[in-house]
Parts: sequence; C-alpha cells; structure tokens
Amino acid sequence: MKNEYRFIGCTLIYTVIIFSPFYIWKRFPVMIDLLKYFVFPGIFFIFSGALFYSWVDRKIYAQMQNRVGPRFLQPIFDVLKLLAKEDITPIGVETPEFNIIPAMQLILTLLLAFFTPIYMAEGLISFEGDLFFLLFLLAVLAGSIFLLGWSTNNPYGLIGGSRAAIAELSLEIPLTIAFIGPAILAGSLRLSNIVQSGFNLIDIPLNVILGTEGFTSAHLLYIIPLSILFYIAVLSANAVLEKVPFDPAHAETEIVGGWTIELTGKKLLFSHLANLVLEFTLAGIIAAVFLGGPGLRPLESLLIDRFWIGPWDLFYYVINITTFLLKTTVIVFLITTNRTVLSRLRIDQLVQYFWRYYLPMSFLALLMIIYLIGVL
Amino acid sequence: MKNIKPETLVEVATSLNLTIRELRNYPSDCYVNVQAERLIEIIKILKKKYDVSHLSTIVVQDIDEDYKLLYPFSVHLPEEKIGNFILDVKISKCDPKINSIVPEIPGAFLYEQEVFDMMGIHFENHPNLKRILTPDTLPKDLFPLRKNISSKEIRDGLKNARKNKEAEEKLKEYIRSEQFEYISEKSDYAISVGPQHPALEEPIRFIFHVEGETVKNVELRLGFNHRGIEKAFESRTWLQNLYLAERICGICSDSHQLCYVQAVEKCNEISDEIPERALYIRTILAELERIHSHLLWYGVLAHNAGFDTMFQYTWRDREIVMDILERISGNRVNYAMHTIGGVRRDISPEQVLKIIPKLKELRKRVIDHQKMMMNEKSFIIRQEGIAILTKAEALRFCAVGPNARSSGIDVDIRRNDPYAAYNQLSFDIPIRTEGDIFSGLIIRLEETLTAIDLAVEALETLPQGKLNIKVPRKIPQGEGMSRVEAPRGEDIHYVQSNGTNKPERFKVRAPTLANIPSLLHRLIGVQVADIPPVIRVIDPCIGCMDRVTFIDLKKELRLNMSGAHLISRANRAYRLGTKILNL
Repeated sequence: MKNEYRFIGCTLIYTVIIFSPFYIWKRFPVMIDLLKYFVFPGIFFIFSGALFYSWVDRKIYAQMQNRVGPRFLQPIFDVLKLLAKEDITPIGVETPEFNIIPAMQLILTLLLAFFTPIYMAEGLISFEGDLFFLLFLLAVLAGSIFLLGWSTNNPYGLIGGSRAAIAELSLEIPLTIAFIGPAILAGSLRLSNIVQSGFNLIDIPLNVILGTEGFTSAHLLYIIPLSILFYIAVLSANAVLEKVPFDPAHAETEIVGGWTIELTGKKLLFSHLANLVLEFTLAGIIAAVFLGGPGLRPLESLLIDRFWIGPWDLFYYVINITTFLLKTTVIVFLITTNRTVLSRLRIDQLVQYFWRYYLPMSFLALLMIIYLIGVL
Repeated sequence: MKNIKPETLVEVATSLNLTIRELRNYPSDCYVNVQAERLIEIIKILKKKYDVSHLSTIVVQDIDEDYKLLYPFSVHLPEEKIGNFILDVKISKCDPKINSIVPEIPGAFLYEQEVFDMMGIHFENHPNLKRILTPDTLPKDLFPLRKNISSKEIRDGLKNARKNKEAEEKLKEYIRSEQFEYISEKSDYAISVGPQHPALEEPIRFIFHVEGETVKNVELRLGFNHRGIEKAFESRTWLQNLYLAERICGICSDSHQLCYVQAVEKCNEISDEIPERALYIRTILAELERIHSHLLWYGVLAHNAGFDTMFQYTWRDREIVMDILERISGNRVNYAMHTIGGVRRDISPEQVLKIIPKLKELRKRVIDHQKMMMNEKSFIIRQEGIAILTKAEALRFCAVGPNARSSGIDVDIRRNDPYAAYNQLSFDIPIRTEGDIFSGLIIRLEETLTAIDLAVEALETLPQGKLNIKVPRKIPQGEGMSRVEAPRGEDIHYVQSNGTNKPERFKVRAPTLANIPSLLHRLIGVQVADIPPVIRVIDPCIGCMDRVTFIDLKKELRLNMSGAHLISRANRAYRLGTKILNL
C-alpha cells in the first residue's frame, strides 16, 4: 500500500510540474519561455519521456522474450549509477574530441527534440523548412559518432565509427524520401503544417468518415503509399538508433559496443541519454509526420461544438499530450518488435537492404502519391 | 573411403615391414612399431593406399632411455567401423628429434606444438614450433610433462616466468610489432579477439589482421586456462582421477569421465564384463548431456548473431534437461555417475516415469526452435555460405564431430566405434555437405532431436541387473585408448598403467583442439562481422582444450574447495583488490 501511495504522490507532483507553465503563463507572461524550454515541453519533459520510452522498450523486449523485465524506475537508477561511475579518459585517445563529443551529442539530440510537436501542432522551434533541418541535424549526429569512433584510436571504435557512417549514408535517402511524401501532400516543408494538413494515416480515415470538407472516399487511397513510407521511416529509426537488425555499428558480440567502447561514467551517460532522447524524438517526429502528431484534429471541432462546456485550453492540452504519448508508444512498440524478432545484419547486408529494397520502395510510394494528387 | 578388413590390418602391417606390438581389444586398437626414419614414408603409403588421413592426437610416453610417440590413425573397417591403427615410434632421450608430419597431415599442426611444449620433442620442418599452452616466458629447457621435472621445478619456473625480463622484453617487442608493422605491410590493422571478449565464453586469443572488413591472417594463442591436469593425473589414484577427469570441462564433463573410465577398463581388460544396465545408464547420461550442450550452442550462436530472443527461448528450454540431469545425479554440471566397472547411481522406475514426458515436451520445443531458426531470414543470411569448409579440407585438417559431419564426412564414434549401449539402439546420423555455418546449425538441431529419441528409447528399454562390478584398486600394467563421441566430436583419452594404483601417463585430446586447425583455415577471408559466428561454429570449449584444475602454488597442495571456501576466497580477493585500488 505504501508504495502505491508513493507512486500516486509522485505522479501528482509530476503532473503539477508539467502543467505549471500553463497557469504561471497567465499570471507572469515573461516566465513562459523559460518554463517552456526547461520544464514543459522542454528539457525536463523530454528527459522524463525519453526515460519512460526506454522503460517501455526494455519491458516489451523482456516480455516478448519471456522475461520479467526492468522495474518502472530502472532507467532513472541506471542514469544515477552512470553519474556515480568514474570518468576515465584513456591514454591514447584524441583528447578534446573524445571529451567534447558525448556532451555535444546530447545537446544535438535535445535541439532535435525541441522541434518535436508535443502538446500542439508546433514544436518549441518551428520555421518553414524545419523538416530538412531535422534531417541535417541527424546527419551531424552521425558525423559526431564517426568522429568519436576515430578519436578512440581503438580498432573496435574505428570499425564502429566507420560502420555508423556507412549506415547513415544508406538510410539517409530512404528516410528523406519517406518524409517528403507527406510534405508534398501538405504542400509545405514545415512540420506544423504537415501536422495540420490532415493527410496522414489516422486523420485521412477520420476525415473521410466525418465527411470533412475536401475529403472524399477516394482519399483513402493515400493510405497505401503512406503506410509504405511509414514502414520505411520506422526501419530507418531502428538504424538511426542502432538497434537490431541495423546495429552493426554497435554489435556487442562482434566489436564490443563499437564507438562507445572507451566511454565511461559521464561520457557514457551523455551518449546513452542522447540515444534515449533520440528515440523519443524520432518517435515524436514520425508520429507528427505519419500519424498526425498530438491530438485528433478531425474530432476537435466535433467535441467543441457538441459536448464541451468549460475551460477549453486545459482539455485541449490534456488530449494532445495523451494522444501524443499513445501514438509515440505505438511507434516505440514497432521499433522494439523489429529488434525482438529479427537478428543483426552485417554492414554490407544493411547497405544492400537500404539501397536495393527500401530506396526503390520509397520512390515508388512517392510516385504513387504524386500520381494520386494529379488524379484526385 | 576404402575399407580394410580386420584380417588385412595385420597384413597391412606386415606388408609395410612393421612388427605388431599388441592387438588389444582387437580390432579396435592395433599397436604397431615403427622406426623414426620410416614414419613419413609409412604415413605416405597409408594415406595413398588405404585413405588413412585422420590423426587423433600424438601421445608421448617418457620411458627410461627413450621417448615413445604414439600416432593413433583412424582406419576404416567393414560395417562402418573405425579402428585405431597406432604407430609407435621410439626416439632416444639424448637427441629428441623427429620429422614433422605436418606436410602430410596438416591437422597435426597443433598436436606437434603441444608435444613440443609439454615434452620438448623437436619436430623438424614444423612451420611454427613454439610454446602454445605454457607461458612464452617459461625457461627454455623446462618441459612440464617430462618425468625428471618435479612439480616444484614447474612452480618455480612459472613464478620466475614473470620476472624473466629478457623474454618479457621480447614479448613486448612482438606485441608492438604485431600492432604497428602489420598496419603498414600486410593489412590495415590488427584486431585482437580475446582473451576477454563478449563473443567468447572462455579465454582464447585470436589476432586478426584485417584489410577493410576482411580478415587476411589469423594468429592463435591458447593456454589461458592451462593448469596442467595431465601432470595432476599422475599424482592421484585411479579413483581420485575419476573426479578430476570430470572437471576437465564443464559442459562435456560426462563425456570426459566416461572416456577416462572406458580407457581404464580397456587397460584392465574388463570392457566386456560391464553390466548391461550400467551401459544403458551411461548412454542415457551421454545423450542428455548432448541435448543440453547443443541447446546451449545454438542459443549462443543466436546471441552472437544478435538474435537475442532465440537465445532467451533456448536457454529457458534448456532448463528442462538440466532439471532431468539434476533429478538423476543430484547435480547440474558434474554428474559423477561413472565409475571403473559400471555406474555409481541407479535410475529408478519412478524417475523414468517422470523423465520421459519431460523429454517429449522438450522435443516439441526443439521442433519449435527448428521452425523459428529455419524461417527467420535475417538470421539465415548471416549463416548461409559463410566460412565454408569443404570435405577435402575437413579431411586434411582432421576435423571431428558435427563440424566434420556438416562438411560431408560420415563419421560418428557412436556408430563407428560403439561404446556403452549404442550398438543395441537404433539412431540415424544427420549429414550435410554444404560445410557452412548454417549446415552446422541444421546438424546440431537434428542431433538434438535424435539424442532425445535415443534417451527416451534407452529409458524405455532399460534392462534390469547390477550397476557395477568390483575392480581392484591396482590396475595391471598396460595401456588403454578410448574414444567417445562428445557433443563437440571425438574425444580421446589414453592411459598407461605401471601396475600401481596411479597412472603412469594420462593424455586427453578434447574435440575442440582437433577442430582448431580447420577453424583457423575457415577464418581467413571472412568479414569482421562474421568472426563470432565462425568461432562459434566449432562449439569451442576452451576449458576442455586447455584442461584446468585448482592447485595452490604456495602450499603445494591440491585444494578441496567447498562452496563456502570458494566464496571466502572470492571475498578475500575482492578486499585485496579494493585495497590495492585505494593505494
């Protein structure tokens, strides 16, 4: 019983922290930017979300393998443990790079996370063309991994770093094309516009059912190319996050963790956290592009018109955050399923899969979308 | 393969102008005297005329004025039987030199290195004669298995090995050269796998010279687990050695004990008097061990290929057979079932009733594993067509067990040289011809099913009778060589008795050592990512190969360690370690 009280208490405190910006905003408008960046949906929420998804990932993985899996707070204890570990800089590593890059990775992934729409259609940072800026940041991240692998001066690190670079070169084009599909449909490269356009796997059927203006049942055809692109994006997320089947850069049983081999203590923590935040971010961005991001837009007007009486703001945010969490959980579930049921590919097989299968597939889907736009 | 009739075996010897020393347990073993100068010539004739190419090991005896080398070759007899044609070569102690047979039998590469390391016999024309089990820094004239070397000398030698600065410097230089020279000359860089590496369960060291992602050259170092079990055998009685034999290896402990017991029984000439029930119980134990070893193997193979889900499933289901073993013997690893003249424990009818349904349940699970592994494409493309070992190469490098069978060599000691109750049970032996990792997997999966069927059949037809016969403590003078199909392949033990209650000479050749030369050959040309599965394919069991025991160096005692003792030792070592770190 005691534990349950503690759990409920913690949840309440957490909720109060998360929603505090909305109340403080009304009284002290100046504080809002600070709170937005540091509490919600900024660093605090991003970290807690990242740790939550790491738990979801590990728990699902364990349950699928007939194991018990970690406790709910295990990811937090892991972080605390790594904080307490000794921070070693081995002799022979290239010092400035080796020490700076892990922290840089964390900063980069946090920057990426600021683009993610979490409680409304817009992320914290949003501008025209931000979709490409996101992809650019992903490439920089892969570059940083490559540099880190080189700076270790360790054969395993070198191999891991170069493999990560090769993987990035292979996945980048299919991933970009996968994101372009919905962008063409929305007529914009801005993430918030794509979210609001309503052309995604969840909103299209809803719009068609509710008979929203401009949607006919022929629009359901868009679901075919969009689901192909969604599948490619999820697989690319597996590769970006270095998870099975696309983890030759990390392969523990071959090259002992690859580029992370020399990292210890805080450096390992930064690198580890960067990976967790990246998982959260990628899930959020894929949810925004393919699943309509936070909220169920077609239902909103229906709710306001018919049922809702009361403070709209809060309800709106609660619904957005809940749907965001649900949609991202689905994506994390898919990523985890991939890594449970598949086995690791070799680096040449990875390249082969992306260039030979996923690239033509994504092109075909893109052509299908363009053709459908012309016809409909 | 040409078959030689047992009668002609004698003719073969006479046609080669050889004297037959002994036909013990004929036609299984045939000892033939050979002059050192004629060895190569005779091996050439044997190879050419009679297709004899499998050398099991090289045993050395230290007898008064001479060293005696035994080369046991496998000879194919009719009815799919295999006999031991043992060439017995004498060389004098003052000049222990003999021609190397590596040009003829490349698989003898490691055996000759081992003999050089242990006995100091110089093999001329050997491509790389160096120490392989003991440290490189050991004094040059210290060869541990020679009779004139006391255990104190070995201890001092090992202690001083660390202080031997000259040798240490050489070693350091060698390490430096291996790291840097190769970068400029032969390959891009050198990767060391082991002694500690996640792909390896036990310590062994491979140094891979890599160009891009392709392996160009491999170097090997063994001996990280070496504790001199063969020397330890010579100072214990026949019965005490039972338990030492079992501790040669953790996974195939039963095979080693069985093999030792059989060798002693051969030496004692009581092989035919063992009660029927004991033979059946031996078979059951051997098969249960094969099941758990193969389950472990393909679980770890999946883990190495990044297929962790499969790993978790197989290891979960392995617990069924571990529970059965625990129910029968009281232990999960060291069963202590065999004794000279029979077995020590019975399997009661109630146990049989409980075990059979469990085995049938396990059979269903193994079929499930088979389906899962055969249909997962991302797993298969990592295994298929990788590190192919052709039949000719497998014969050249004297491969054994599932490793040889996956290359198309139809050899299984259970059928070819039957022991225990195998000649009364029916079973088939899976053979593949591809020789890649995937065929090794298929063979092991099918062998697991066969082993389950065999165990069930043996349990159902378990005859009544005595468990063991009485055997005197002193074994009469003589020698015995016994072979067993361990989960990893042919395991061979040799004992020589001098009429006392202790063996004069004991020799083990674990299947892993026989598979290493072919493994080294297979590793050249594979990609770095394929190294772990390729190493895994021979099911390496380094403990077996190197042979471990606990010996207290300070007190000159063999330790009888209880669980509490081990824990206290670990705690002491931990405290010591933290103290050093704090300083």
